[in-house]
Amino acid sequence: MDEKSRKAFLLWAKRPEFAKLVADTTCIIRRHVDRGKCVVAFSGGKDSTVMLHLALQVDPDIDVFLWDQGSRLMPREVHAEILDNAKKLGVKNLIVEAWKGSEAEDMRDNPERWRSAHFFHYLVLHKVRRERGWAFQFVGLRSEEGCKRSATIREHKRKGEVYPLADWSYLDVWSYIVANNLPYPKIYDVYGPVLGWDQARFVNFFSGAFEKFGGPYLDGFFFPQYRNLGKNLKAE
Amino acid sequence: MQRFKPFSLTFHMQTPIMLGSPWLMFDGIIAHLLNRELRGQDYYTLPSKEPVPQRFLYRGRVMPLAQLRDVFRASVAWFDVPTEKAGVATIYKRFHEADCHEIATQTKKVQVGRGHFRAYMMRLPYLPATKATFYVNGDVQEVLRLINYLPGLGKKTAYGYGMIRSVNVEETPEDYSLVKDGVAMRPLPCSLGYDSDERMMLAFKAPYWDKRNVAACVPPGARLKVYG
Repeated sequence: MDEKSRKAFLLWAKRPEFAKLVADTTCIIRRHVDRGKCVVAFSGGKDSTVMLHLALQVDPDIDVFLWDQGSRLMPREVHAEILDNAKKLGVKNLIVEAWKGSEAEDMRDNPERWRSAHFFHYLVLHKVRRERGWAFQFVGLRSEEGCKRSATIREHKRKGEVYPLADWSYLDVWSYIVANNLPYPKIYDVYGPVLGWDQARFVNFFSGAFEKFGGPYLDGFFFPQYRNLGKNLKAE
Repeated sequence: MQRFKPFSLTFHMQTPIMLGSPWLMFDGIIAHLLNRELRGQDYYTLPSKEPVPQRFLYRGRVMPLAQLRDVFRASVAWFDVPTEKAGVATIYKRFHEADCHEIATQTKKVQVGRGHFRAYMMRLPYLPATKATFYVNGDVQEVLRLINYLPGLGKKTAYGYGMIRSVNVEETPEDYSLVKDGVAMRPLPCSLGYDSDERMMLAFKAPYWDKRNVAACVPPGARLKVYG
């Protein structure tokens, strides 16, 4: 992150409103942790990193669930970086689950595959949830991110999900990361200055699902090394 | 008289170039212009996922470029600004309701959320380059004749991106189309003996979007290993 942005986020972190927001969020997390066994849904992105750090402050032994999107959508070096970041944050109980189908060759372009991956994500999550007896799941969704997410938070249709960061802005998230010196994926340092720190998102690479937003074009320009994943370089 | 000569082609740009990859391949541009010339309007009705065999490009010297096996001797575009200077612009594609009657279908409702008429709001990267230089080994006259029909460089030329102000041609003392000062000037397949500490799975021949043309390559800009 460039020095100018870092300074701006640090200044924001010194505001009393920010301190109150952090205290309120911690309060929400604590209230749920006291009521039952909880899990943090961790994707590796900036929001779930903040979510995870806040939850670990309340319960250092909290379970953390990471859904592996497969090597087609998430290059293994980026996945390794996420695991490393989780370790640096102090996660003790990390549960990583994946769906074999996400390794299929057409994972990037086939909408059927995306739907199946989505279905299996929730299927596996519910199975693990039952097995481990999780009552609440902390998810780092924020209303600011879009109408759909805002509606998800407002309507609260997914049972057991809690959104402690619902009212956080991108400034709050980045300020928390900078103020606490949290590790975050390097992809943000590429996209942040170009797209703006409010628009930089960490989802996956070259997914056709984001073509209408230009995702594969941006990935193609900034990360050409991930364009043809799945073919074995060493075998060539 | 020898038909092919090494030369550099410098495009002076009027507007920024929109790209979907950091590399713009010159043989891809020439192959596109040739296909358009040879196939006419049929070129635009080809099935998009199953292109016609590109073998004709490699036989009978159709392409005005020298070859090293399957690799044409034409570099990628070298811009006068680094990729760190790239910006992002938002491009909108919307279904034009006024032209509804032009669609030959019984469907009463046009879905803009998915399918053929899906609406797009894409963020595409652009490079504010004023110059784009290609190093080529080929037939200068034929290349110049073909690029006469080139509307612009890169993506979204219909939106005004990649407009060309002028073109300069200069003969080069050596052939820099593949390698210049030990640096790869285009994707060079490792199967041809090229090697580097940097390797990527890249398409090395046109059409560059076709996965069947992907192989382990030395990417443009990487320093080549020298043996012996």
